[in-house]
Amino acid sequence: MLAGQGVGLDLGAARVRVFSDVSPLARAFGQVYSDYESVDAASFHDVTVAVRRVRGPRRWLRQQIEFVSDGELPFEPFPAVTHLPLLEWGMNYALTDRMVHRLLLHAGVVEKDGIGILLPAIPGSGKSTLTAALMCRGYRLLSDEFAVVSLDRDCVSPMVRPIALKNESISVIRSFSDLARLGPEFPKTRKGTVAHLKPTPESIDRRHDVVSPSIVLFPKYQKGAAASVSEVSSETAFSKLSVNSFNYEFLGSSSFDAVARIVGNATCRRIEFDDLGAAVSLVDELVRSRISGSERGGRPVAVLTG
Amino acid sequence: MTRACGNGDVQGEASPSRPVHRPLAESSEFAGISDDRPDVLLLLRVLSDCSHVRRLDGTQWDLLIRIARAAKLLGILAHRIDRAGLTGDIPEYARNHLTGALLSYQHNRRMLLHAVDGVERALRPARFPVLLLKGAAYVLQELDFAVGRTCNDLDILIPHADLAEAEGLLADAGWITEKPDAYDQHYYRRWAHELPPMQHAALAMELDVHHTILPPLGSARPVTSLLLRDAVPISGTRWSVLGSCDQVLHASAHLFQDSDCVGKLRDLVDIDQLLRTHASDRQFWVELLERARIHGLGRCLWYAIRFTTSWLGTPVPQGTLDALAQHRPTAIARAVMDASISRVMFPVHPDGRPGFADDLWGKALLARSVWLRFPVSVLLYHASSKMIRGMRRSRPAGS
Repeated sequence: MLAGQGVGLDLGAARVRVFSDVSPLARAFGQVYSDYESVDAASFHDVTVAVRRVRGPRRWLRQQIEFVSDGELPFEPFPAVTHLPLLEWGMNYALTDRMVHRLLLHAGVVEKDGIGILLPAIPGSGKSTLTAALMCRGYRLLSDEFAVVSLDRDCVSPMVRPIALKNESISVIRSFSDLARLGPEFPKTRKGTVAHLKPTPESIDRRHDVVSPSIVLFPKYQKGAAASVSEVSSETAFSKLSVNSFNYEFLGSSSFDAVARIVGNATCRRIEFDDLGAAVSLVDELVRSRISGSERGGRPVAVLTG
Repeated sequence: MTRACGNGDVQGEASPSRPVHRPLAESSEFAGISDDRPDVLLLLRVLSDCSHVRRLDGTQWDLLIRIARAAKLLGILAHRIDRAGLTGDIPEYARNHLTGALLSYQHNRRMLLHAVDGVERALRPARFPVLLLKGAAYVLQELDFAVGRTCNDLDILIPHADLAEAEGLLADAGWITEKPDAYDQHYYRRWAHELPPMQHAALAMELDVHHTILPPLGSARPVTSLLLRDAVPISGTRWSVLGSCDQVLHASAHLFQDSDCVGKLRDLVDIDQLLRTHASDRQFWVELLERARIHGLGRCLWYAIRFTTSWLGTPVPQGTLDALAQHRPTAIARAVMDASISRVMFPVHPDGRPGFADDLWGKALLARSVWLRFPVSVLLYHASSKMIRGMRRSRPAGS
């Protein structure tokens, strides 16, 4: 399938067409994306990506693979064994490049009982691990990488893809939940060992249901720390969110307005954790108090009144 | 009101009695483009009449957006569709990408204007004229086709005698040159028509300072004093731009004398749009020919008109085409150029790999442009210097 017409994926906010002539990739891809219904690959897709074997005499010594999107090769070739990680990183790149009509924040997004949670973070903060843990406990996954924010409405669209877990996170999530379904492990990639956690079927089914975020939660993994939640001012939340974006500057004032809307409506908190179970309980509590109304949205950002 | 957008304001005003001569015309819709490039045929069809987008299905939109993006024409297309009032007729999935391309353009425009401001401030003490070239000129002239078009760098032209002063002022303002290497400096200063590119820590646009429009030792040597003498000031600014004919000739020379044409369809669209901007002015065409003769750019203009009329339907008066025939290359040169340009000017098919043959054609065109730009003595000197320096550099450190 990947080799011929390509495979069409509907991720929610975007449709992606994937090609590849790397046969081990087809197997790993089939494993990780098996819950997606196939989309007619000839129809319109927002992004087209391919992972292909590098031609040339070197292939007889050591086969390399390359990522290409519409004739553009943004990365140097990879060893052939890191096929799925290359595809996923390449998709990140291509989606960032092609989805410029939306504000893309670097954040995980989950939802429970209508309460949308944004988990913005820098690498190493445990964002993917916490997002994965929440999904394993019944939260709906919208995205682990991009919060796809509409520029004219207060909403975030799902971009449902497997969660890339790295190094220790892989075993942490395996032992955290029996429901965690992971693809093959890829050791010795540029980011260490990588494995992809499949989204829950509910997350995939509801890939077109948008949410307006009610909670902005900044995760911070801290070894040995007791799980705790603390307040974050709207101003801090605003600046952290806008800095953690792929195209904030690029969109001019409309991205300012979009981030201000999110922060103005949401409860902004920071969560420090080591134990995932305790972290999930604290998030459950935040969701409950937001539903019961004891937690209101943060006050409007001061800069908005000017 | 809906207008035929490929043809801008001009077509309605241009006299219908002027026949459009198509020098490349053959049986196919766009001469030289074969049916195995449906992406290129689609792009050219939409560029020549954008109301064609009303009839596209999802598969065709997919292909059009990908090839237009690769050709750096998506923003330009988005603006044409907008201006023609067709945006409402377009499915949302495609409109998203057109919107994105216009947002990219607006960002790029902000960066460009910011850099233009920076250069203006830096050169404020100077008395010499400063011309904007290419993209920056089109933006400051508020030409309609500049909307949606993005620029990679900011190009300015100043008199050769004032280069040292300009460099000093720009350096004081924080513009630094990227090529500190002594040989590179020597190369630019002796044989190039511009200084080494400059960058500014706070500005996201590279600055190219030109003193003329083509390398000074090349086979075509435009008369720089005339370019400067007939420059047109942009009112309310310190800037000038080349006169309308010189602008067309510069764009033509830049594409057909100074480049290998690989992937440069956007540059051809620039020429088409400049010609259409003035097409209804009878005097423009007369002056264009005269100006091409004076600058020795008749051959470049001939190529420009050959390919714009063949692929973009540019309306050129018959009289101009007849007069231009004196600059026509030999039949062999024409055949070679037709074959090579039609293979390399368009991006590779979005799903394809660049073929071996296309690669060779591209290299041949690169060799041609180098040949046209430099005398043999300079080429030999430059090539041997580069080689010797390359060998020195590859020695292990410390030896």
